[in-house]
Amino acid sequence: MTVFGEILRKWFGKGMDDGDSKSVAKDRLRLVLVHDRSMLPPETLDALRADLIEVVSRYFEVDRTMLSMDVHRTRESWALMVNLPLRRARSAS
Amino acid sequence: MDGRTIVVTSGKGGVGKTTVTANLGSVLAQSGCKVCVVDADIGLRNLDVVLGLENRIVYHLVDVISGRCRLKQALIRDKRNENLYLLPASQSDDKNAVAPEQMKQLCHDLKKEFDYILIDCPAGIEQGFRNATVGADQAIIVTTPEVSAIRDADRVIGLLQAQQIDTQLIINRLNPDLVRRGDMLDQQDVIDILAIELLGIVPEDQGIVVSTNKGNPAAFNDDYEASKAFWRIGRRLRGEIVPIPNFSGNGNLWARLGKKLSETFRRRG
Repeated sequence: MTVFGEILRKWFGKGMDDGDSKSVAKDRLRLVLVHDRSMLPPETLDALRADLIEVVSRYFEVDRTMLSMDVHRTRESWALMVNLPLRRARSAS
Repeated sequence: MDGRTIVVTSGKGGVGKTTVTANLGSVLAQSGCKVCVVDADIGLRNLDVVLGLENRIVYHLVDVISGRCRLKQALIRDKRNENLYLLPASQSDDKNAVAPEQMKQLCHDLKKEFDYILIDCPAGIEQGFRNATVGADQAIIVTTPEVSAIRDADRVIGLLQAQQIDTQLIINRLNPDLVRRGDMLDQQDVIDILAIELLGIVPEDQGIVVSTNKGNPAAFNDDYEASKAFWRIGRRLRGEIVPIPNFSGNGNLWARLGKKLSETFRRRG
């Protein structure tokens, strides 16, 4: 610590080591929450599966047994992968 | 009367749920609303001591639910404000003494008598949390600007949203000095992370410790900064539009200049 730094510290109560630990906190929280939030309860996945089939069925005939669904997680993001083979489009009513 | 049931919850313990419940109850009662604060922390009751009503408990929540007394017999009227009532928790039973359906019925009954029912939720996300939230119309999440509290708040927000309970946030014990020097998350940081509506901010205030020691909620003392914050939050709950002061400003000109100088200096150093 130089003399100038010492003066600053006295004047403004702010030393060289202080400050900005909050951005570390924010970054750590963001990462940990990405992980926390991706742990889905099975009921949620079942409900999502049913809703997806219902919506798609309005437009296409589908085989509901063929739906495959996966929640894909990486360190910084997560994605929903859905594969649902279609039989044919429903005619517009 | 058709009151509103608000659960005060957090996930993590020790962030100020009981303090918030006691003070918001005091504020709303002083505003002329009829308020019942309910201690839902069965086995670990605390709201009674924070309100200074611990010597007046005869019956408690579990007595009411199990039919050992009538609701009105268990309600304790506050000595400072006649609009404020406490329904204390049992200290001897455990959390499984109450079933969610019974809590729902209790909230239903209380809503006939009161404008506001504030439920002090136990920490955690188990049975006690379910009991405290099942009869709630809306929820207030209390967090401090710390990683552990915010992480738990996020978990609880997810659970409440799954129950389709409208949820707002109170940031408690924000220290403006720490925020200014970048060593504490500010209100915008917390909102960015939790993505939830902010109901208010309560700055850290030693007056809270003093008032808890005395069993006299800070909201009965106008001098405290925390008390002013609770009054603003109370007005917002009642539907008024009250701006949230910025506790995270860069301070006065000299503080800003100091920060700037020292940052420049740090880069060179």
